[in-house]
Amino acid sequence: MTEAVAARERRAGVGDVLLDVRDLRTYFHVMDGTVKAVDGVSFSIRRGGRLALVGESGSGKSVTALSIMRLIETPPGEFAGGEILFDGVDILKLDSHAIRKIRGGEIAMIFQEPMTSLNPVMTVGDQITEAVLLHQKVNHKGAEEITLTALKDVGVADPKRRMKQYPHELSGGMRQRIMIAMALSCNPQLIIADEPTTALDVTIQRQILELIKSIQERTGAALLLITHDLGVVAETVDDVAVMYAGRVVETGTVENVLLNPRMPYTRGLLESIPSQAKRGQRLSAIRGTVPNPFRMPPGCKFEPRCPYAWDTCSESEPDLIQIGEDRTARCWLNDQRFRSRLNDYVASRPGGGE
Amino acid sequence: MADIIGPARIENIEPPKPDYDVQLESLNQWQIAWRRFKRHRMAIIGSTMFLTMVAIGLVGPFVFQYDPNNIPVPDVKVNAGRPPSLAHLFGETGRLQLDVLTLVINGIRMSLLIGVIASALGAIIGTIVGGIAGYFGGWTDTILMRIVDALLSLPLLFVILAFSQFVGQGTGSWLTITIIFGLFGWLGIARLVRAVILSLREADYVDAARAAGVGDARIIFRHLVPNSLSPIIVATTLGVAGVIIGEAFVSFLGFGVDPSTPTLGNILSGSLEFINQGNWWWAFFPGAAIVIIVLGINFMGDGLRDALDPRARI
Amino acid sequence: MSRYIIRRLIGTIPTLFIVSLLIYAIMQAAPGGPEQKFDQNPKITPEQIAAFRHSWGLDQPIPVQYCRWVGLCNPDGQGLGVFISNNGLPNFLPSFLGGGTNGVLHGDLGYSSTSGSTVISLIAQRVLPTAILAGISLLVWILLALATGILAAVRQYGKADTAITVFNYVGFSFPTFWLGLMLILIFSQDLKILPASGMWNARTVPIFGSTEYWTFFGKNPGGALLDLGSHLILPVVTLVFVNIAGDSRFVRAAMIDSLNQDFVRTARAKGVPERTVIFRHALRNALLPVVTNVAIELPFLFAGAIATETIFSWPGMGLAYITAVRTYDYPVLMGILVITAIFVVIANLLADILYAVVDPRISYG
Repeated sequence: MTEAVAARERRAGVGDVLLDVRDLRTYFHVMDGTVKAVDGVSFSIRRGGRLALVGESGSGKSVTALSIMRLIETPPGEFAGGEILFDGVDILKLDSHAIRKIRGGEIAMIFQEPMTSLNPVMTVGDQITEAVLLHQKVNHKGAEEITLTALKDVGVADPKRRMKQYPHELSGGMRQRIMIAMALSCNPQLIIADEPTTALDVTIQRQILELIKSIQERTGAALLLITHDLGVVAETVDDVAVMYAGRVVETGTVENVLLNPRMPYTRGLLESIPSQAKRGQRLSAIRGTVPNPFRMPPGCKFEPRCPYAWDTCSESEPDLIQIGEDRTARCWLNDQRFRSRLNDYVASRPGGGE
Repeated sequence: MADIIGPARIENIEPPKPDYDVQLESLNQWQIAWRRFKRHRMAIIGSTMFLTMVAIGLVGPFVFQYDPNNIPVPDVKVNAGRPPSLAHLFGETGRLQLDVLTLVINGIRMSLLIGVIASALGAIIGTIVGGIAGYFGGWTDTILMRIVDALLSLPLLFVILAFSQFVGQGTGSWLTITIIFGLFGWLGIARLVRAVILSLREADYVDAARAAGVGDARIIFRHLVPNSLSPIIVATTLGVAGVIIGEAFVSFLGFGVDPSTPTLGNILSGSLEFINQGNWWWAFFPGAAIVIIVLGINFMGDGLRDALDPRARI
Repeated sequence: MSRYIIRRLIGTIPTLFIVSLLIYAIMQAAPGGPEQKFDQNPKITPEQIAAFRHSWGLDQPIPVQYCRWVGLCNPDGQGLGVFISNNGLPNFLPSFLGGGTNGVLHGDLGYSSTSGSTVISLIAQRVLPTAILAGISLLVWILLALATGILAAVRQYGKADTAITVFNYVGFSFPTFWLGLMLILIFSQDLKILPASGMWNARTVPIFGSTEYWTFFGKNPGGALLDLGSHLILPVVTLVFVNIAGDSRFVRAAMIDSLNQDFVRTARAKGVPERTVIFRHALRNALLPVVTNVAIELPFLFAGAIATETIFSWPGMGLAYITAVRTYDYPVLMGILVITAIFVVIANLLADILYAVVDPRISYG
């Protein structure tokens, strides 16, 4: 596998942009109207890079991931705008044959619910070999060999026996390992992990995350990690993109965003994490609730809940403003004209940090 | 502004800004169901068909009166009956040359009456039996369900046929046949009700209600009953269709209602004889009426089922 | 696995026992009895009716009649000895073990009160025609239901789905006997291309099931099959048209359910082609409930067959039943009911076993 990684790196040059999502919009047309689940998502991942897409439930992060794989049912879904450039090619414009080759082969996905994501009437071995046979030119025997190797790589003991078992005979953690094995069996360039540990016990969560990290490092694949857990972000990835109400509202490296957020929503999220330093104090929370998708505020979508908002914020929605190299924030505070407000905001940061 | 970012103190909290005209409509279960039903195209078509037939059955027999003791003498004697014409829109029967339209209209009334009453009777018996089995559990449940399973192994139509013939000998009153169908038709509903009650006993929200201090009686009436009503309503509606077809067959064979009271089934029984003499209308129109009624009921029942399903999303 | 089968088999015994009780109870609950066939005949004297009743054992108390009919009691026994067979052992044991020879338990269903032949031989004669009709209809409609159900599910809410759904509902709403009648009208009377009734052409083909028939079949299999086929078309179409709806809707629902499962999304995410997703992943999971559903529907197959056999004069068990009802032939009536019930119970058992075999999640414990 390192051969392939090295070859790939020689060909492309490490540090190249592998995935470039530009202003993606995915809408759903339902009986009561149109839900703009993703309405302006932009971020990019380098080859071998690691990015976390962070947000609350309903922020549109899962839909973003599914959009990248084009796993959205159209109807009722619709790719209303934007581009998803993978290796320079716009995924949204590919025909179904081409997209099938990419799925599993170039981009692999690990889902949230290992319980229900595996076919209950097929052995786990068969499910992995199915993926292998689709993307690699091997015969059945060869596919089985690859499956065994993949199982070993994810730390499954006694892989020969496990291969013949059915999903209901395995524990949750084991099933997730199978999903991971399925994902990496075809050497994808990008691994998308959609909340891979949310459905697992806390003790297993750490193991699985470590596993994903080590595999990603070993194969040189890029990683897109979808999560709502900021703690996981800090330990697993280099870059982060924060989502709110279907939009990316802040991007940057983990250090920059977590230590010096330039978007009040991100700051609110960070502040709400209970910690030793705040012992004895009241828990803080972002007041208000996530907006109703059918009745979005006219300007900035976070404005109703934002302690720093002023009239510009309710009048018009900011674009993603470039702050430095590889750093953006969708907040008027970062606009040149409002320098003084930005200074107040930065100054009001509570001492002690995270 | 600074103290809002830090830990919030109650005195300093501002009320949240308006969430851009959110309207909260609180609808109860039946209002939601009615809304969904209205949107279901087939349900509306079916209801229209069914209600039209009900209207015909209610009003028709007063306009098109049928008196088995006072049969008008035809002006031209044709043994096989005359085909549809302006005078007889559905044609005439053979032998007595009765007006098929009159027969069919009266038949619609009888068939609907038998169907609705028998199905309702079956629903009541079934609910009681299923409720008892589900509620008391244990031996009561086991014995009752064994009997239900055993009965379901029998082709009930066979049993109804024999029973009807032995009880009524082909001259039974419509009430007799209705009661027979009701007595044999409760099995499915019993199973349904029992299943609902059993599942409700285990339901999380029953535990939650108990944990919040809700008493048993309230649980039964606010939770168990509304949840079991939906499948019962659907099953009863579809049951009407089943009884109508069943009664039609039983009467067609001559085992059912006495021909002096026309039902869509016994009208058909006489037609067999004259089919190869060219009389197709005698058999066609009553059957078509059955199809329209049953089709209407099936569409309606399907709509009801979708509308009342608590798991559906909108 | 065999332990599971044996356990289930043993479990059917109480059900069958209750079934036999119920059949007997229901028939007794209806007024009258086999002697009713003499009702319209003024020449039969009350003494003759009494003698008739005595020779058939109808003057015994009901529990005794039931006991004899089932095979628990020895008709020759007196008092408590009634439970003991002529060989001195309990009557309910199989005859080769020394038990009795009478009753359902020993395969004796009595004698027809109209023809005098044993009920068993009558049923044996009629089983094959019903099996052919019901079996072929079942096969045809299951295949069609699978095809239409899958199509409707894959193109949910599309034109194909609506058309299939409407077609299903319409078919379901036709009374079987009326549909048969209309088909006869159109195809036999007006168009004259298909036979109106019967199972074979009485003028050219020997009676079905007789030795002459099988000789004829051996010498001319093509002709015999053609004859049989032409007589089968209308009844089969009738049964299929009315019965396909239930299964088609069910397959559709099961497929929709299956297609919405997470593992289907996983399969697509792996790059599996859509057709494979439908047949290899979704359908395999959807088949499980469909199999059970077919088993549950079997009793209705018989009910439908009754109507079809009557209209088309198909010499099967359904027609025999109707004749028995008309002639108050209780032994034949109850015999057919028992056989049908046994068949249904076995069919349900087979369905359970099949389900356990096909679904790896079920352990046979």
